[in-house]
Parts: sequence; structure tokens; C-alpha cells
Amino acid sequence: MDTFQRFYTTGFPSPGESWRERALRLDDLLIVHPASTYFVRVRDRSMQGAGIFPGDLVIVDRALEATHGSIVLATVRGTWTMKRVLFDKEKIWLQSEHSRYPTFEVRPSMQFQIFGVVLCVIHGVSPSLTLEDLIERYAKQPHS
Amino acid sequence: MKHHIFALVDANHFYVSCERIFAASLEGKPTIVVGNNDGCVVAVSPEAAHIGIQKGMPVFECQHLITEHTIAVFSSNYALYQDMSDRMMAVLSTFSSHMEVYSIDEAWLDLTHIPPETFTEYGRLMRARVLQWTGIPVSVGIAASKVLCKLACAIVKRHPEHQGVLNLLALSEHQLTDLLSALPVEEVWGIGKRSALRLSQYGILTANALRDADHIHMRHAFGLLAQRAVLELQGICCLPLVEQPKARKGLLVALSFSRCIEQRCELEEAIATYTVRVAEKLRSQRSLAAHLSIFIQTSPFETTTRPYANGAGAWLPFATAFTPDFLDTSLSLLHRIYRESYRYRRAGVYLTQIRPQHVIQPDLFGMYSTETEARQRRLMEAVDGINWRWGRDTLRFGAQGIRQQDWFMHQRRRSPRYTTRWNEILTIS
Repeated sequence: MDTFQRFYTTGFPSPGESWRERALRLDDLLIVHPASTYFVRVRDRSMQGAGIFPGDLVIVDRALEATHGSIVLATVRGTWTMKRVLFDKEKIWLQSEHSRYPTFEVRPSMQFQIFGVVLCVIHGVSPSLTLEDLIERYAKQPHS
Repeated sequence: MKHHIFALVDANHFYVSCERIFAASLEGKPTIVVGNNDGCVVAVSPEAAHIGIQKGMPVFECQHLITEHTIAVFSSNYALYQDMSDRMMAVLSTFSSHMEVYSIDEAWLDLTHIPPETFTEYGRLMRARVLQWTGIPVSVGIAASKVLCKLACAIVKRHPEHQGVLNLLALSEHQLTDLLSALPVEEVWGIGKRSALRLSQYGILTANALRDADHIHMRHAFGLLAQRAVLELQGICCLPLVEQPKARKGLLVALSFSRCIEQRCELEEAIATYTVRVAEKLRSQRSLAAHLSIFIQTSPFETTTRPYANGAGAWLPFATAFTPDFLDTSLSLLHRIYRESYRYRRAGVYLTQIRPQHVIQPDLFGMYSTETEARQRRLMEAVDGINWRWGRDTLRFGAQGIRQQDWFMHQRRRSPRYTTRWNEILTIS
């Protein structure tokens, strides 16, 4: 966004010029560490109880420390999963937020690797302009 | 010369590492990345190297190894690699106020202002943070000169006991001598195969031997580069950090063709297509360009036909973003450098002298007209709008050609562009 002095066609500068603030941008609020922030699409139901629904977009930050109770994006034997991680003394547990998915303990053989911590979820609510529609807008052109 | 301490941070098998970030199941499995047109190997994982695949090998030559050992193959995904590189460099930039981004996967940092006793720890910290924030494993070499840093990194990559970081300044003279004596002189940055051969005739076979050489003598016998290599090996910095400005200096679209092009008309189509692309990029960043250059070249890997590479550039009468103006220029430049009966394999169009759109600089000859400019801008906006809505190349310029462009590069097994395309981001099911 250019910040250039605006002279109205009256020839006088705007009275608000020295008070001008940058318009709000979602990036500034939600992307804390740009270099370690990644966007992921969720298609499974296992974290519905936490408010992450199929079709939602989540913001994952690798720079954040995975503490007890944080939701993480991880791989288990090379397969992606998103679960709440629980630390209990020496043990690590992965908990879902859906009745059909049990909590399970992470064992060394599972090759458990955390990718990053889920910061927040973006959930579309408009039936006429869904998150899917918004993503499709960029399907044919790169964002520049 | 002022005393400087450098760290070289060099990503390990960078392209492969980028692929592994989003495909965790590949960790430890032999993986390769094949270059434009899936023709030759551009990156090799340690496991694949162990099997015998080397960078630069044509794919058909190692196809049997690929099948036999089920090696994972990816087409190069430069959109992803470039973004991951930008992230890696962003992370590193927090560690020093003076940094030189050397290539897509290497950067130099100036550590002169950090307490010497903390160098190694600093290196470990940099390595850990890059790994945590991007998933890319790197090697760090710390020394008083760039040549020594390069050697340190090479050693780190081959010897896992260093755990990714080697600080040459922490070694005793004896230890350093041992290390450098184990490296053939050819591996010293700045010494090529030919120089190494001649040096061996002087009895200089190792990096250590070169370090002990008389640098003045080296200058007379081998030239400036060799003299610099000797001094740098001694820890005397001759190659300072070159910090680049952050501003985007030029826009380039350069791609290899999937097959050789000999016909002038086909080369014209290629140049025209690349010109249209680069102009699209220019307009998308709200810029104008005042200079255009092109290059064409035969395949660097083909030894059967004559090599030819040439380029030409021209100033535009005034900074513009109007594709037809660019097309006129690039095609006339092509006519200047095109030679018959060469088998061309690669071409590129490069725009420089980039200016922001709202800064108008009327030209000396008064050819610029605000009316024309406004009309042209509306036309391009219309074209871009339609192509944006309906897909790239819905509207094409005649010069791009109407027939099937079968020379356009192949990318058969490219992974998704996880970090630059909304519709290709990682999806969990």
C-alpha cells in the first residue's frame, strides 16, 4: 500500500493526512512468524469438537512450541494428522475432539513428528460465497 | 584487510529436503528431483547417492536404478523451492545484520560482532531454528574466510559426527592441518580440475599444501584466483560479503524446451510466449519496465551439435507494461541473434529498469502520450481480466502461435505448490 500524501483537488492537503493509519490486514494479525507459517486445508472430522470442521482452513506455525493441550499438525508413520497433544510425565497422547476417535498414546514405533502448532481456524459461514469458492478464485492464477 | 568471521549456511540436498517437508514418509528413502523437462537429475538424497545416482546424470541413464530400488522421483517444483528458500533466508537474516544470499540454498553471514567463544553455539542455534521453522536441514561452516567456510561445510556434510556445525576457529592448529591435509586441492573453492592438475606437478596435492604455498609465487604461476585461494586458506579474507539490495531488479521468464527447436518460427513462438508471461508478471506487480533483453541457447548437455548461446537487449522508448510493445522488441531482438541450423533448447526474456506504475517519465522525443497510455492500459486490463477469470491464455497474442505448443516443458511429477497456491495447499483427510 503506497503512503503518499494526498492533495485534494482544492490544492490543500487533507486534514487527516498526519493521522493516517494503515488499514487492517488479516496477515498482520494472524501471521506472527511469516517464515514458519503454513496454511492447511482440513477434510476430516476428528477435531470438530474444537471447532475445526471439514473444509476449514487452519494456520499452522512451526515456530510455536507444542505445549500440553495445543492442537498440532503432525505425521504418524508418514501420515498426516491433526490432534490435540497431551503431555503426561514422560508420555505423549493424541486426543481427538470427536466421539468416534479415541485418544491414543504415542509410541516410538509410530514415528511421530510434529510439523507445527495450529494457531487458529478459518471457517466460512456464507452459503453463497464459501471458503471453497474463495480458494477456487486463485485456482488458475498465482497470487503475486 | 579488516578481520572478519563468516558463517556459511548451506542446505543439505535442498530440493529433496523441500519435498520431504510435505511428504514425511520419504524421510530416509532414496529420492531424486529431475530438472526441467524431467531430463536430468538436479538433486539427490544421500540414500539415492549411495545407490549411485549423481547430480547431472540424464534420467534415461539411471532409469534402471530408479526402478530397481524404487527411488522416489519428483519433477522440479521451483515455486515451492524458491518460497522455502525465501523462508530459510528470512530465518537466517535474524542472526546477523550483514548477510549475503549466495544462491537458492546458501547464504553467508557476518559473525564478526559476536563473541568468539559463542560461535559454535550460534551455529547450532541457526541450524536448529532453520530446521524448526522450515523443516530444512542445513550445514554450517564457520571460519575467517569464505574459502575456509566452504571447506568446513563440505566436511560437515560428509561427517555426521560434527552434527551439522563446524567452527574451524575452535580447532587447534594441529587439528586444522589434519583436516586440510585430508582434502584434495581440487575441492578448494576457486581451484578447478585444470589448476589442480598443474598444482599437482608442483607437488601441491592437498588443501593444506596450498595453504603453505607462497602466495606471491602462486600469483605469478597461477594467477589471481590461486593467490586469493592461498590467502583465504591462511585465514586472510580476500572475498568480502556482498550484500544485495532487497529491491526486485528484474523479471525473468526462462524455460527449457521439452525438445530442441530449430525452426525460427517456433523459436519466435517461444520467445513470444515468454514475453507475454513476463509482461503479465510485470503488470501484476503494478510496474513498468524500460529495458528488455532475451537470450537463446543450445543445450549445455548436448555434445553432438555445435553450441551457441547469445543474448541481446534493448531500451524501450519509455517505461511500459504494454505487451505488444514488448513483443515488437523481443521479436526484433530475436531476429538479430537467431542463427540457422542450431538446435535450441532454452530461451528467456528478461525485463529490467523496473519502475512503479504511477511514476510517469515522459521521454525525450515526445512519443509518450497519456491518451495512448490510458488506452493501452485499459486493453491490457481487459485481457488480463479475461485470462484471470477464464484461465491463462484464454486470450493469446498471435505471435504466441495457434498450434499445440509441444515444446513447452514437461513437469510430469511435480508436487503441489504447497506454499504459493491456495488450491494446492496441504490437505488433511
